[in-house]
Amino acid sequence: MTDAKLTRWSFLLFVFAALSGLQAIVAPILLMVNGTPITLSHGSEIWSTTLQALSAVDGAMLVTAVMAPQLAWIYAMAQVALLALDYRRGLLFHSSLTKRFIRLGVAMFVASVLGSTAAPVLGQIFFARGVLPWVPDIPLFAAVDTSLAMAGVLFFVLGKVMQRGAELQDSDSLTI
Amino acid sequence: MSIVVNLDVMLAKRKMRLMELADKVGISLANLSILKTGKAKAVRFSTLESICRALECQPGDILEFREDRD
Repeated sequence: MTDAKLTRWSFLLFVFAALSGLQAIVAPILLMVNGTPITLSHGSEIWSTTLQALSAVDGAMLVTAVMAPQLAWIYAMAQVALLALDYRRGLLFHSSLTKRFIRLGVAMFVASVLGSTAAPVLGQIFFARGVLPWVPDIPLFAAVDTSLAMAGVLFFVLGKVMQRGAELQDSDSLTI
Repeated sequence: MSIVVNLDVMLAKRKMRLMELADKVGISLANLSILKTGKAKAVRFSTLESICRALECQPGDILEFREDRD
């Protein structure tokens, strides 16, 4: 691949990462500001409310549950964007890139786990606090995003492999 | 590291400057500096051979094993 092509692909990667990160910031904020109803079901029963209708503590818990996986995803996208900038600067096989891959892997895995567990855990808490009349039909880990978790593990392992490669490269460059 | 490079000692014995050795051996001054200061991770046999030929010495005159105390 030529440097010009690599620069173009890196720029595309940067744009996609920036857009995805931006969307992850804006989407939950809009959900909270617009008063979008939050709907949960139990069998045929439907429970619906808005963030504004909840108490301060319950609202804070809901915001945390919504934002926690998004923050992990935003961090992952920041790593991708920084990786793309490094590629554009011509840094291709450097130890700093391996760290980005490892951070990206961990962030994606965390985003997957938080995204899958936040809603059912919050449902249990809301039921225990009497906010919900029943435990909503969101079984714990039933909706685990295995593809995201798998991608996270893959990036983590790739990062570790690249780290070893960078160490070997350093060692080779110091062979006289 | 337990392997000590005594290149500076040999250079002094032969009254040769690092630049001169670099010219004779065909290695950059920067790389010879890395070797002299003990920052090198490894030395190729071909490099060692060239240095020994230029300094008229044995590999043992340049490289020495010293037990680490820590």
